[in-house]
Amino acid sequence: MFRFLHVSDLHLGKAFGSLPEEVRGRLVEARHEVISRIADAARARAIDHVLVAGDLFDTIGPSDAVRRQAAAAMNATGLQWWIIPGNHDSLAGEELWRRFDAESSPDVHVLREPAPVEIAPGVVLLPAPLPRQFPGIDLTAWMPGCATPEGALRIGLAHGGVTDFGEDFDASAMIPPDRDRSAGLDYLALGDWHGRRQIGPRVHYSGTPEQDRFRHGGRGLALAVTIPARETPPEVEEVETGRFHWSEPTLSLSPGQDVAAALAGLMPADRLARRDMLMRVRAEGWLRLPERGALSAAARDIAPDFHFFALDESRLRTEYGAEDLDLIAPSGALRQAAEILQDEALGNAGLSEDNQRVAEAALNRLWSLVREE
Amino acid sequence: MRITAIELRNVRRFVDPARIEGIGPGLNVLTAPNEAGKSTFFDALHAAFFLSHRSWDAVARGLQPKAGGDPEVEVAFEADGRQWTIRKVWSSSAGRKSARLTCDGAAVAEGEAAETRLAELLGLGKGGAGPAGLLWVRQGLVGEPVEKKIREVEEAARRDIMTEVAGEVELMTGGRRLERALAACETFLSSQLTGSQKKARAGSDLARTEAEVESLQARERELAERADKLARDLERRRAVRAELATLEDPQAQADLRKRLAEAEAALAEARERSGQIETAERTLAELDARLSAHKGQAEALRAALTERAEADAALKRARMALAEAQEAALAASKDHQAAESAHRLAEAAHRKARDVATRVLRAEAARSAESRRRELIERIGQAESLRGQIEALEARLAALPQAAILTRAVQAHQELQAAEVAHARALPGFTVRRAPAARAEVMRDGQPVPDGTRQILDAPVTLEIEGVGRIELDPGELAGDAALDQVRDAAGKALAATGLSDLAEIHRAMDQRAALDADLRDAKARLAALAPKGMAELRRELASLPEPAEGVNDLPDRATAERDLADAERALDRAAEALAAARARRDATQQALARAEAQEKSARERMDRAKAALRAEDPEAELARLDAEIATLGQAAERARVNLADLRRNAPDLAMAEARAERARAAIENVRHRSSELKLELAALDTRIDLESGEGIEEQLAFCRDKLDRVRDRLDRLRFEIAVHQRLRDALRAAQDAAREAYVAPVLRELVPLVRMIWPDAEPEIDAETGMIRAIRRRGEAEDYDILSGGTREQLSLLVRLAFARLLAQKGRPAPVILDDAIVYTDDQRIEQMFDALTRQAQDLQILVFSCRQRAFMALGGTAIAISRPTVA
Repeated sequence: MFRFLHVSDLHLGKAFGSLPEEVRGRLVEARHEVISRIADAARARAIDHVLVAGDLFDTIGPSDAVRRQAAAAMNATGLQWWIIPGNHDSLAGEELWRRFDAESSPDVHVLREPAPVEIAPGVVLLPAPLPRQFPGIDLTAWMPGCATPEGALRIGLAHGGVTDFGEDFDASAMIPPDRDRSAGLDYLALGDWHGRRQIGPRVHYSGTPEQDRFRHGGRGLALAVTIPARETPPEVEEVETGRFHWSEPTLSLSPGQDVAAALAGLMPADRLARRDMLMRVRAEGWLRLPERGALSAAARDIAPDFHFFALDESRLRTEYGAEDLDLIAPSGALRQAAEILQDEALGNAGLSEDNQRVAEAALNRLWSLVREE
Repeated sequence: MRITAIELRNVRRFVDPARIEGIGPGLNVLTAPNEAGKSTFFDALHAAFFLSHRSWDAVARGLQPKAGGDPEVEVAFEADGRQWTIRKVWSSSAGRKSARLTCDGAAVAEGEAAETRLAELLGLGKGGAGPAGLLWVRQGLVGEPVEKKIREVEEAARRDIMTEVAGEVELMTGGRRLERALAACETFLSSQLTGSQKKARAGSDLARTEAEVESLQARERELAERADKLARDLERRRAVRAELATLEDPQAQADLRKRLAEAEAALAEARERSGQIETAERTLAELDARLSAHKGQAEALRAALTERAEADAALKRARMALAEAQEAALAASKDHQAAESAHRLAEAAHRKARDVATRVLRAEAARSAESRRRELIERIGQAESLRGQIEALEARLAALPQAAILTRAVQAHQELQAAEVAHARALPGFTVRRAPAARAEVMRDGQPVPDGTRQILDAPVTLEIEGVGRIELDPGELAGDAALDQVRDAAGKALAATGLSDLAEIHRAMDQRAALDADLRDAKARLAALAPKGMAELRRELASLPEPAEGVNDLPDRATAERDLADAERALDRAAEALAAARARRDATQQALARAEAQEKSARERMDRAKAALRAEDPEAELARLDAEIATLGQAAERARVNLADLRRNAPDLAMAEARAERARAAIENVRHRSSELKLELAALDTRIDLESGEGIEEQLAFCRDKLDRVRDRLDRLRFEIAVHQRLRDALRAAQDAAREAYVAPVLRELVPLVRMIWPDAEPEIDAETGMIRAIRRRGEAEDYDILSGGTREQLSLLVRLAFARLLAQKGRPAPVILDDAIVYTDDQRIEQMFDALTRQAQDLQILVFSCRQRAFMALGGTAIAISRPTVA
């Protein structure tokens, strides 16, 4: 039996420039701390080996601080780290890995060659490090032809897309999903996909241990893998290692709805947990003018609970009732201006889609301005 | 709507109930002295409609009597074809405040509901923005100083019109709410954009965000360049290292050295063979040269011998030709001399024959000149005689008066005759014309006067008619004729000039002249025939004729002389031809001789040269010796040629061996040089990479790009927001402009006829903002409203209300117009015109006029109404 932690895509040094200043700091810190959380998870399960399936660093040129602090954190764990460079930190970042080697302890192994390495007695690791960002070839192709001692466990370690990702297919995806079978692997640890994903009983993406985007959502994971014996299916346990929970729910709206309640319904009940949440609500559908106002107000009200909160209204359209316009003015010039804008917003004036959006927003603004009185 | 009655209680001076009833449609006039309570009714009416019953403000309190109490007003009115009453009580106590609305006698609403319903009836609209149901014109502030009063009245009027028409104006133009929305847009836009709306305002969010995007883009470019440079450096370093490893591989270096050694050995061998070939080539060349020289000598010797033989033969031929030529030349010379002698003889004979012929001709000419001489002498004699006749005729002509003088005298006489006839015609006269049957004659001086002939009367005449008596005719004193005298005098002078006595003599003289002239012309003609070129020419010809010749008798006749001369000429021609032929032959033989001499000389010289060319004493032996040496040398050269061909065959290529050796040496040198270059470059790359790698360039770049995305997104949102505000602003402005246009036009339509009732030529301009008249245009000149007189402004204010009321009525919302001493400053004449205007409008409006000017308003007409006090009565 052999046990190890499978992680990938730590993206150390990611600075979250696309998020507001006040949000970035804790996210950056959480990324760094994930090393110790991984170590904690390993120690809690008496695991000595951590396999990092690429993208330990966010770029081939992280700052000295990021690199040295990562080395120091790993050195301090007392664990065996088996690392392959991924597309973000490929071997093209030669200086990164030269320095990292120099700064890390002998327990931290950067695997630069596609050659078998015995990481424990009777356990052979077949690594597929990325020589450059876009290798353009299947780097696991050598694994089937690689001989290992009789009876030794064969564990593959690779970074990149598998060729049956379906709608997520990426032209750079090169790894065949049956590589475990064709290469006689007991487990293929994959990285690159930031969400947890199982391709087969022996082929797994661990996802990132600290989530960094809304796309995959949830909280980051590591996989605690136990291989009972050669040719025996592994046992895979998902271990939550992430601090921040990323969530991007869709809020479907229609006129007449209690928008505040609908929004509240999407929020986690545990108010304390919201502090470590990044929430982006994607509103869609139609609302009446007053309901739009109510939605904005509800969002403003709820936002401070979260580490980050955003309401995306780009797919939300406004429906205008006659009485909505009456609230602006029952007749006269104001009414006339409102009706012209409404016509434009509803696409009756032959405007481009962009200009329709402008007209819609202008009408909403007019409504707010006359209601402020 | 239409007001029908008003009742007050506890309102100012009316503590007890007071009423105005019987208010009809059209014009209603309440005239009462000051302090009769008209303004109280006016204010109460206003409060009933516009002051909420819950109010207890200054206006509400202002209605209270001095003694206190809750003011109470009830107004009855018609609206929508039904009868309504509104009754309001204002009070400091909440419990006593009330409002009650009835319809056709039944209560329909109380309290706030009554207020709301009332507002609807007044057309105030749900938002409170509808038109006021009443139009008010307030009393002027009597007793104040005039200027201040006018101003205050005007301000009050302005305020009123705004209050009263504000609903309508607001509805139409969006009013203050629209202005506020517009202002909010403008404020936002001007906070972001410059005045021209084209660029971001300094210090604005937009400017800051744009600047941030720009700065981030610059930073991104810089980082990307650095990252790219670093990547290139890393790539380059890998390539340099790989190349160095290849270059410094020991096996490769050993290979290079081995290749050099081999190339150098091959080069030495090639050089040795090359030397041998050079020697063999030299030997062969020497042999070939000698062979060639010997062959040349033998050839020359053979040629010289041939030449000598040929020159000898040629010399012999030349000498023979020379002898023949000399002989021919001599013979020709003799022939020539003989021909010359013959020619000289022929010439002498010819000269002699020519002399004889000449003399014969000369004698013939002398004979023909003699007859001409005789003819000339005769003609000269005739001519001399004619000359004498001419001179005599000319002398006789000269003795007569000149022709011109005679002609002049005849002309003068003719002019005198004409003048006398004319003079006679001018004199008085008479003509007798007797009747056909008359027997008696008219007698003058005893002579019958012929019938029909004019008789001149230049002296007294007595006519006698038989059986009738005498008629005495007297022309009186006749005036002389100076012109006639002048002509007569000229005629006399002309006659005197001729020296003749009368006209007959003149005619005779003229005839004589004509006869003499004819004779003279005849003589001259004959002289001209005899001597056409004059006498002198005849005499010159005579003198030139030759004298008769002497000694001609021994000469032959002319025909013989001419024949002899022709024979002599032919003989001379023949001699000349013979001489020419002899001369030609002599010249030809002499030229042939010269040529033969020259050829002989040339043949001699050729012979000398051929002899000189053969220097050897025994040329034939010398030639045999040379031929033997040529054979020996030819064999030696053939041997040398075979040897050279052997050497050249299989000889290594020296140039190639040299190139190969050079290349082998250069390869080693290149490797050494390249290695040292690469080591230098590697050191530089190491330094650069070391410096840049620690900076975390890629990390910074990733961050910068993310941040740029975020700031760009913010900029997009900001720009969208600006576009939204711009669109809203434009939509509001457009709607406002359209509404103002729509509002002003109908008001003006109503106002113009009213204004023209007072000022027939005036053109009002309305301010769409305030609904007030801005200016009046009269006779093409605009007068600002503010500079018009108080009376005029007062009248205009009233007319605007009337126009507005009409407009509301047309829209189905008839609103009563209430005037409280509204035309204070209007003089009596103008007030009539105002009354006309009021009467005109009252045809379809309800107008309530309260006035203290009882006398002036008597003329207004309309329904008279009065304040009644039921309880007092």
